[in-house]
Amino acid sequence: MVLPLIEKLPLVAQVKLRRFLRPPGAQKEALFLQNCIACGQCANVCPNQCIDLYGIEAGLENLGTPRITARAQACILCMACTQVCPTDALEKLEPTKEGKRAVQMGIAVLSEDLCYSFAGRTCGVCYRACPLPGEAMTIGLFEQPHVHAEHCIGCGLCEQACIKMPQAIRIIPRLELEETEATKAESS
Amino acid sequence: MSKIFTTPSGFAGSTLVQVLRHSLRLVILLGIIGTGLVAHYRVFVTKEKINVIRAEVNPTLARRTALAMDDFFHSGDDQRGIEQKHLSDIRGNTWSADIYGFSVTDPLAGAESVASSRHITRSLLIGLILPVIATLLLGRFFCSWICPAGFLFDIADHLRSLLQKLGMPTRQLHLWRGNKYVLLIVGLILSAIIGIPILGAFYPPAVLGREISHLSASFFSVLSDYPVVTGISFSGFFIIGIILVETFISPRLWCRYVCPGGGLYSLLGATRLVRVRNDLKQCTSCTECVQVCPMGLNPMKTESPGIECDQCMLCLNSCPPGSLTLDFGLPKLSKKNDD
Repeated sequence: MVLPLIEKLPLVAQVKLRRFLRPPGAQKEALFLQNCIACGQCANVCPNQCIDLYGIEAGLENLGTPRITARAQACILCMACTQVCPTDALEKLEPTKEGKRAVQMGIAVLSEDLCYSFAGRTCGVCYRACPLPGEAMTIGLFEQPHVHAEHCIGCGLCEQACIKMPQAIRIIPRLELEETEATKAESS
Repeated sequence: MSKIFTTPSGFAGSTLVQVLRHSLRLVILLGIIGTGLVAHYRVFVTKEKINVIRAEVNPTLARRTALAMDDFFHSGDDQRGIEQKHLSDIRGNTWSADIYGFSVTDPLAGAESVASSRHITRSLLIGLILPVIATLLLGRFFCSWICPAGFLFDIADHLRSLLQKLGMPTRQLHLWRGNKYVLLIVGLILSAIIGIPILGAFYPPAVLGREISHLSASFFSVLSDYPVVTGISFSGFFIIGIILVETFISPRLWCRYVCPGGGLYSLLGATRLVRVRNDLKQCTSCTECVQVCPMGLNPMKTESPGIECDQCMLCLNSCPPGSLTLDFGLPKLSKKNDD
């Protein structure tokens, strides 16, 4: 009875670009913000302590919602947070290969200028950190990493592992990448 | 009068009930702090274990490989590995909690999530079953029996009476009671339009739970090797501000006039089965109950104090002739007693 009435209301959701990742199982940013009630249970159960909660610094819309800073502590894809979400803002996923492949947190973007392997010094740490080696990331001559964006889930383990300072590989939240690509397409 | 059952005289109005009520809320407030600390302590310990295993597997890349994590999570007979063992049995706060696998979510959280997302999910529906049924039966009992912020506001009430005894001038500001319903409806419509559940940011129990969660997470984060600075939220000042306003300007301002959650509970509990009734024949109009009511209602004038009664039973405790009773029965539909 009420839902059809709500359907008639206009939706003026404005999603800002963000720098942090959402936990695994999160859908697109607008859908995630609609569902998340900021209860903080995902941050309570994370065994890796990688999820922390936004304060007031990112605006009221983000207050109390979870975030992951990959460089500090990346997600190990145990999927504990997706099991406890009371509003399904984080879709329930299993900690198996199939569950991992369904995650869409972001895309790893490699800066070849910064990467040691592309400068002739073999490293390959990011490849060894990748939870989907051979799929999301392959390795070439001198351990040069190659990211396959269509398979990358954006867990951030490569960014955490990168021994270069600042990191040569970093995770761009999927939505942010989509937006920048859209603006690039518009300008060109 | 469809009265089915009257409580044994004396018990509902006894001081024991008040002691139980206050201790329940204190336990819940301490419980939120405790679950926050215990959950983050467990997380802290597990994280240390994970780091040890990472270091054992590859000492040169200590903490820096995921292949070790695969062994860690998919070892032994339990394919889910540690992930199930570390889950706290009691977690969350009154906004949304999980007690031994039993999910409980505040109806206001459900309402605003449904409004902003425009659909209801299965997990949310499961979490809403118990609170909604309890509210339909018992009315606005959450406010006086569970709400940890209400406990703090009660302390503000006592502080106020103490200041009055010391001769400090305190104001009695009264607002329109309909404010909370207006705020509830405006908040839900706003949530639907902007697509973000906005009421939780201003709802004292949710704010309190969030603050405690932030603080306990920060506490253990500082202890770990790689501290992650958790979000800085100034919501604690919001609670302190309400307490100050309630102490000096308006008694129980938030619960009486503003709280959207209280409004939702009042509306849900409009046809509640357990309610305070006044036997007008015995009533001596001594106004004891009116003075003691924290919600500023008038149980003396009418047969029932209306939908905003939060079942705190202080009026039963104060009534000298014992004309107020707690009855179990269907509501009277003929006469409206909204005050």
